[in-house]
Amino acid sequence: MNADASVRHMARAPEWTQRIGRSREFWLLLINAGAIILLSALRPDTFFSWLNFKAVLGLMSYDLLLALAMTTVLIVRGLDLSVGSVLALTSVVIALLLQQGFPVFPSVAGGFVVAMLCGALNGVFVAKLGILPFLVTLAMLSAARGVATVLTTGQYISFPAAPYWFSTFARSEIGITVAGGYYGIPYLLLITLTVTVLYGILLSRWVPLRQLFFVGENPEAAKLAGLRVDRLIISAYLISAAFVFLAAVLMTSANRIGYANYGITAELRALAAAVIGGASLFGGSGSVLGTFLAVLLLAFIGNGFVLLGGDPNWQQATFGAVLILAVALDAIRTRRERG
Amino acid sequence: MFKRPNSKNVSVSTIQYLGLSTIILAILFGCQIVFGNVLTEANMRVMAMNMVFEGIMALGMTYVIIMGGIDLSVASVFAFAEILVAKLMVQAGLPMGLAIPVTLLVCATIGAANGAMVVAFRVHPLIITLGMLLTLRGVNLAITDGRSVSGFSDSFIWLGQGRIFGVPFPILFFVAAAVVLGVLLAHQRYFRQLYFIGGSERAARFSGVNVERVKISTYVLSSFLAGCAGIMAAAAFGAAHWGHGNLAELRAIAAVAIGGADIMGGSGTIFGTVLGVIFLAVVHNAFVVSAVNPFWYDVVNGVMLLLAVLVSRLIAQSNTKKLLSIKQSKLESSF
Repeated sequence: MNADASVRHMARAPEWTQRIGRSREFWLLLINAGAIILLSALRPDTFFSWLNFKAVLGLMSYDLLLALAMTTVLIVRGLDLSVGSVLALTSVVIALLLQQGFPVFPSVAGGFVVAMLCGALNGVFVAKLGILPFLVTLAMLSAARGVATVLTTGQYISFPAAPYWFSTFARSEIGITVAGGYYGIPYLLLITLTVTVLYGILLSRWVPLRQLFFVGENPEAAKLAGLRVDRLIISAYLISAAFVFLAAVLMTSANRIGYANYGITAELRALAAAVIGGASLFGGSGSVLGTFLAVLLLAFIGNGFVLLGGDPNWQQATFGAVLILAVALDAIRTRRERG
Repeated sequence: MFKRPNSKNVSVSTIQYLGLSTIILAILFGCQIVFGNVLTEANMRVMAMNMVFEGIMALGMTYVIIMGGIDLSVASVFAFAEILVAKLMVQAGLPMGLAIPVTLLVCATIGAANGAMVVAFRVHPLIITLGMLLTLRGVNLAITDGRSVSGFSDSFIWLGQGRIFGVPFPILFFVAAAVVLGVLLAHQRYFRQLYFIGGSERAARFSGVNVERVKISTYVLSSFLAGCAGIMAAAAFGAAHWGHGNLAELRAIAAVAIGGADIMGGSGTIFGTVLGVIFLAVVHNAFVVSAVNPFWYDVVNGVMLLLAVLVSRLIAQSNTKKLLSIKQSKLESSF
């Protein structure tokens, strides 16, 4: 019995390491760490400073929220190409309401209603009418951006009369003093990270959200198992819209303007990050941690370009190349696993 | 007797084409009656030139979509071809006769890379071509520093602005390409395989279709056409700029979808796509002549796309219902 237990114990250890080795998050973490170490070694003074980290993480926040939106719909075998333009529409609506002299909460609520309406339309068309998510959200991409442009005639919408706290809260910071050093954490970052952590925990623990994976893995089986598949798919699009709404509020507050051209091609970056982070177009997979690490990696690559004096114009090309590389590595890995 | 479901299918798609043509004509004549100046030669030319480059891309996209794929990268290949041909001629000083074939060759190679990666990695073509779109757009931006390249010779400009019997060359190219590709798609054995692959890739593979070769060649065709469009666009605009062709991939896909092709693959025709392209052009023109805030254009575009997909969805549903009822009646009569 003793021997048996020890055998089992010995057998478990390599399996455990194997699982880590196969885990995408682990490799993404390693690559991120590698990027940090490399950049710190090359530019110790500029890269490894709180100021730089704050800039990188702050810029990453919007992309992170949109990538989480994308991850959620990818899990249910969906796709949301409209994240960028719904972001713009929501921001424009909030800014216009504020400009008209409405108080902050009704204005933000107005934005919320608009975002949710877009999400609900996406979800209903996908789930109830059975149209491909690609086409539905493509139409929404066009329509939402169009409405935003019509509302603003393409101009910046500023809201000088809005309460001071709203136009500053995303940028203002909480100061923490650790070991004699002062670290200011912008609310933008704090809110984004809190939401990300909460959502990560919920997505891996809370049953209704776990059901999303089931639906994406096999909608037929989920339906036969008694899940309300349509309702779950619609709620995935609503969750996605909620993330977009949050990004819109933060962006409007941080930039102090609403603008119809916010988030152009953001859907492509969000999709790239979600796929690098482990989501699949065939549904059933995706994780908050993976998406977070993928967004972080893309942010570090962008930052590295600037710090190493590279032509920042090449940054976009790298995103695409990283996406293709990630897909290629995946293909090699699955092929090796299948033998 | 047994031909009936087949002939019904045909008539349904004919109804769809007729409906689309009717709407196009209604918009055209409606605008002519209300605003005037629509059916003039100058306006027709402007209308056609507005959509012709997306139209050429939509032709290649039709092939890709029938095969069950998608090619988002056409927009960036389009801009890349503009920039490459401009750089080769203006900065490297190559003659036009050399610069154009080189550009087309490079574009075809990009298509081959798309196809090879789709085949090798076995992920959704959306992801591969998205990666290519991002990469190439970044390259376009980087190699031009965001500036436009211009200074073409007159003979090159002719490719975009020259006219034969009053018709601009790009439009003639579009018509010729549509006729050739339409006939090939309808009658050539090799291209009939696209429908087979789009309908069921596995069935096609098991019945001996060289799926890999067909796929790669289709992506090559798509990129090649985008390259042709890019070269003519550089000539038409008189300059190459990385921002040209932004969102063109979505317009091309919309044209194909409005033309009645199933985005999941297996159905669609070049004729339908041409109608879709004309439809988009006419709707755009209606905004121009009616002097309504042209920003509404995007909204209408989105709504139209949804409507078109809904209609073809309903038609497909009624088709399967009919098919099932025929099967059922056959079953019953066999008892």
